[in-house]
Amino acid sequence: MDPDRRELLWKLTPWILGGLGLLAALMAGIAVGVIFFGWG
Amino acid sequence: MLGYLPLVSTVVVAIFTYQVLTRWWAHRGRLHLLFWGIGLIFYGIGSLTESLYALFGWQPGWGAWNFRFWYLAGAVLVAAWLGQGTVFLLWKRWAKPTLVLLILGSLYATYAVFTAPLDPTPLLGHAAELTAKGVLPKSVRLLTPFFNLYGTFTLVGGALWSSFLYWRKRVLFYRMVGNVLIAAGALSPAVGGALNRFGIPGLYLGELLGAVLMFWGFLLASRREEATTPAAAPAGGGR
Repeated sequence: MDPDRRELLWKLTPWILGGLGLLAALMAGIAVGVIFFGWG
Repeated sequence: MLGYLPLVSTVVVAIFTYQVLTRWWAHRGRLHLLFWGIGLIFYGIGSLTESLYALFGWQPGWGAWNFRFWYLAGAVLVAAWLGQGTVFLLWKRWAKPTLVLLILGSLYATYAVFTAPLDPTPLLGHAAELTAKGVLPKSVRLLTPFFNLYGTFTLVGGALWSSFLYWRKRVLFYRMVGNVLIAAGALSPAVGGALNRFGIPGLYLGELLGAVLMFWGFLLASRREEATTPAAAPAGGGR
């Protein structure tokens, strides 16, 4: 892989991980809502 | 058109499953590959049953069986069994006790799904996507979030954690990117499933995207690194 692209990916990774982590937390929140509050 | 996406997903998942299970067969000690393979078989059953519904609609003879297999494999079991593979890879101490719980939970879910009364009214026409809303009793649908919470926590959490470790140590670039793709791929059907639960079509697209991203991530994570530090971080893809 092109070294510049590789460097860019190293820099972007923590932001992507943070975004995916937030999305996972949202999905977990919905699952908890389904269990305890009968959503959906 | 959207209804036919599971046909593509089924093909992608079949190739992915073959790749994972042949690697497990070559290295049978790597149990995480076996459990990923089992999870992928459930993924494939889920998308195959969706394909059958897209092609033939609800059939009086076998529509109910198709639906029950879809719900059990595609909605309840898939994420949890994929996640069990990650538990075998990353958290070996917990692998056996959690496996026992998962087997018992899966047996109970099989009983509950195959004995529940069905109301196929929402699926009698050609619905955009298979859905359990209004078809299965709420008590049975309540099983899904428990399995999916476990699956999301282990599969997505494991991939994010592995990727973070590689990033922090600045090693194994392809495994880092591969794990990001696996996490994104595992979340795609979860997002699609949540939309489906609230009556918005999105499940089939999420499943296709999920299959492609996880397969791509698996291939990248299994790729031999060119020149990296030999001290590998304690997590990875299809080693």
